[in-house]
Amino acid sequence: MSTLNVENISDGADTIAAGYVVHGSAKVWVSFTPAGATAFDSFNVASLVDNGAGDTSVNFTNAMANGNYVQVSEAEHANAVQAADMTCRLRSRADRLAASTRLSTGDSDAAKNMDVNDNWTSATAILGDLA
Amino acid sequence: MMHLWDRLAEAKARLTPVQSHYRVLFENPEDLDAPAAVLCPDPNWMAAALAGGVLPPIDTYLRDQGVADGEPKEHPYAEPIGAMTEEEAIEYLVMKDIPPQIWRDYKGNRCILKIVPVEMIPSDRSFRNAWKINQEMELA
Repeated sequence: MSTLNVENISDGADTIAAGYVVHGSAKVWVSFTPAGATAFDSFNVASLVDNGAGDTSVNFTNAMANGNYVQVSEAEHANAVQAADMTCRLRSRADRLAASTRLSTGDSDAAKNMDVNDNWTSATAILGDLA
Repeated sequence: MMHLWDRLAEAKARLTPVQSHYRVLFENPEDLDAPAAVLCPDPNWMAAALAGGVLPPIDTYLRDQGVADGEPKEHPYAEPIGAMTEEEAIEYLVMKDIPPQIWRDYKGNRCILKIVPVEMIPSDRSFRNAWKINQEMELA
């Protein structure tokens, strides 16, 4: 494997430091179904853990430097009809760890209470510094 | 030597994902009300484990569990190990991704960890939050 060493990247009009690309890329990503914690595709994921209905842990192969990373998640229904209140989100702040994260998926009722369930396919991407 | 993350990127471009035939069932003895959890190996990770030359030794992960956030970790910079069998890869994952109090320290009589073929995991999710590991032992 060869290495391209550059300080800046330009399209002819705009120039950015190469670090924006290196540090701005997702360090972990995975799309999965919470029912059975099966990954459709992924990068830097060692395993998924089905902890219960709508409760999934993602274990990283290369850990992050700490638990202060940015995590972006989404959920979608398996069929073509997409509800507005479906969600995939960090289960709790204590679950965002350097080596893993834990997600809740489900939808909200009229009172905005989250009904955690397995009805959705989900995805998450993590940006931050690697260990 | 290449960083682990770079090796993973190279491996993903080169290897075909492998769906494991196994799942790991486990219960947390410190949370008796929690249902049994099911660990599913990632297909890209399993491909890297079977191919060899990508993943670091398991003991580097175990030592890193005691390293504080922000401090240098050993596993991204360790020399990669060779190819594993699927069974060895599952054992590696048990030690890496399941807390030691479950696979190493538990002294009780209850079976709290089982490696099973994927066919043994129920497909009916109706009572998912009531799942427990079957304690009946099958004697040959």
